[in-house]
Amino acid sequence: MGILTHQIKSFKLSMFPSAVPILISLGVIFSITADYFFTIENFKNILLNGSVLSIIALGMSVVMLTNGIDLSVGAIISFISIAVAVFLSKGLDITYSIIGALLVGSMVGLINGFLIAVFEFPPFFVTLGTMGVINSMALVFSDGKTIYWEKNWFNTIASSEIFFLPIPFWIVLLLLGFTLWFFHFQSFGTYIWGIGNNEDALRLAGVNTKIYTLISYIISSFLASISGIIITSRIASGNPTVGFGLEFQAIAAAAIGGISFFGGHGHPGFAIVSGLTIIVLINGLNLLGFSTPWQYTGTGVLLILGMFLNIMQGTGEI
Amino acid sequence: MKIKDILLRLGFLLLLCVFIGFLNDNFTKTENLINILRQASLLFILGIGMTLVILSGGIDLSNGSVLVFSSCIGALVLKTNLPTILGILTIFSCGIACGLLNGIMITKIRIPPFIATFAMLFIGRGLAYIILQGRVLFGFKPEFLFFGTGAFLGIPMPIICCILIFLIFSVVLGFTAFGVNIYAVGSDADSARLVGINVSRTTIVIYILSGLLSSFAGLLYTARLDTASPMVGASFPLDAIAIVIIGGAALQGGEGNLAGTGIGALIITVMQNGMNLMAISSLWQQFVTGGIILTLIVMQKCSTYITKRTLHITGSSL
Repeated sequence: MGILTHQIKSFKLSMFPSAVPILISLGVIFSITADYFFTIENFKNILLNGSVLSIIALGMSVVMLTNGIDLSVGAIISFISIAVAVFLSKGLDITYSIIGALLVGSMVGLINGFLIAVFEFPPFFVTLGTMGVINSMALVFSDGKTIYWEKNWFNTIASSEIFFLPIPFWIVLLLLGFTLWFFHFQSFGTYIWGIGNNEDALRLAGVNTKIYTLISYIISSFLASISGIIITSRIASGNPTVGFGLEFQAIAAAAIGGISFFGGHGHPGFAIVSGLTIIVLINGLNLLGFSTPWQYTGTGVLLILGMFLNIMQGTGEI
Repeated sequence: MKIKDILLRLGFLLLLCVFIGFLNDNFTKTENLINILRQASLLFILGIGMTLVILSGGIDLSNGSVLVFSSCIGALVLKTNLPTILGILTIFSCGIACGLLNGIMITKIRIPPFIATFAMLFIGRGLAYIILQGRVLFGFKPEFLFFGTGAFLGIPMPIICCILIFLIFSVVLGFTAFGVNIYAVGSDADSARLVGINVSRTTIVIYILSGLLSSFAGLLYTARLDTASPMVGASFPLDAIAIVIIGGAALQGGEGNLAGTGIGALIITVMQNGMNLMAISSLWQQFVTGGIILTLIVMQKCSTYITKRTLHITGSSL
């Protein structure tokens, strides 16, 4: 508990990354300008859309805190989408399909983490390599086509609600709880921050840093698998290119969420918020009638602005 | 980058060629070899820009978007009655402008290269869509198309352009102060600053050159296909990074050279060509690219390990 009191005492408002004020100001601006923005239906929509990005941004931020990077999450999402679809279309039980998909996804993280932690290959190279391999496997298994299955309750997982909130958002809240637990009440978070700050010092202090690096990659790919399942359930089909480019969006979300590119600084909880920030921008622009190209440009401007504000107040660079 | 590493990659390329040539008679035909060179030249030009950026310790994810943006704006000018040279100058100035913007964001605002160029990826592509309003421009003047389809002394223009650019940048990297500065900035930016190198100016020039080369690739691409479309090039950044990595550059900067990148471009193109000749589905192509990256980093590690062991056994010290 000593760690927590220290953390609370040393807390400063400037630790909030720019994603938070930007999210609030975007919310205010769009509430005034867009008619349908401030409705419960739209908020549910935002939470549902934001969940996927928030979940992978959380995984990415854990990896980035260890001074690594995971480019394979987009590929994992595509691959999981196909894996679930293949399982379901072969008539496998839904629960087993989900568990199988999570296992398959975590295996990729295990391979990534093994190559990076044990053999000390550069994370960027390894995950770029596995990204190509996994992407291609998704295409080969599906023969490049979309896979459908007999309609069942799997299709309604993402869209159904418990206590007025979509299930994917409950998953996000659950993961946020886990994050706070692991990063403030367990040694795990301290080790992850420590690996990014000074891995040698941590190892000399007697911590098996390799195991924790390995675990961070497993977490990242496990969370990517959860996102893959949510997306597959939403589109009710297996699509081999559904995750294209999501890894970079996750990195961008983590960055404006205040996660340092050199590891060790930033709080993974904020990565969840910044995932929502990006989705709120896209949703608001959509409601105001701006087409996809404008949303593209807007996202780019948001990234520059967010990074600019972060750097001005020194978040993630301390 | 030692001569051993280049020989390792050259050997890999030769083995690949012998293997594919043995399996398929059509591979060694002159038209096919010229075709390979023509395809590799575009990739190589993007790779040269990426090599400069990676040598300085940065990364440029925006090259596909800069290619699209500059060729679309240039195409608008080319479709009018203005002289062709003006259109070409427009293409180049768009590339330079994007590169300048990247460089300023990275050096003056100190946004990490990954995020700055990723934002540029969104903005460039978004603007290209907005300006062309979703149209595709085609039917350019013959003197412009000469750059893509013409030949000089029987050698296709893209190959000539590519070789010229390669020679120019080899001289720049090997025999000028600027080239030494790039390596110095990539190896250790702080030391470079202390010995009096203007780090931020060097970095800005590097990103401008990268933007310029991307726009040059855009010119060749547009002239070859006789089409300017905002939709192409989504995979170019990763393709370019892949060939630079295969070419043996280190992502933390200061290590790598253009010859390696050229061999990397040839390895990827020969592989794809061979797979097309043997009627292997294109769905496997990313698998092979990822596989080559993973294989080469393992080979690199092994050769370093063996060298170290040999030195250890023979008792010699460096």
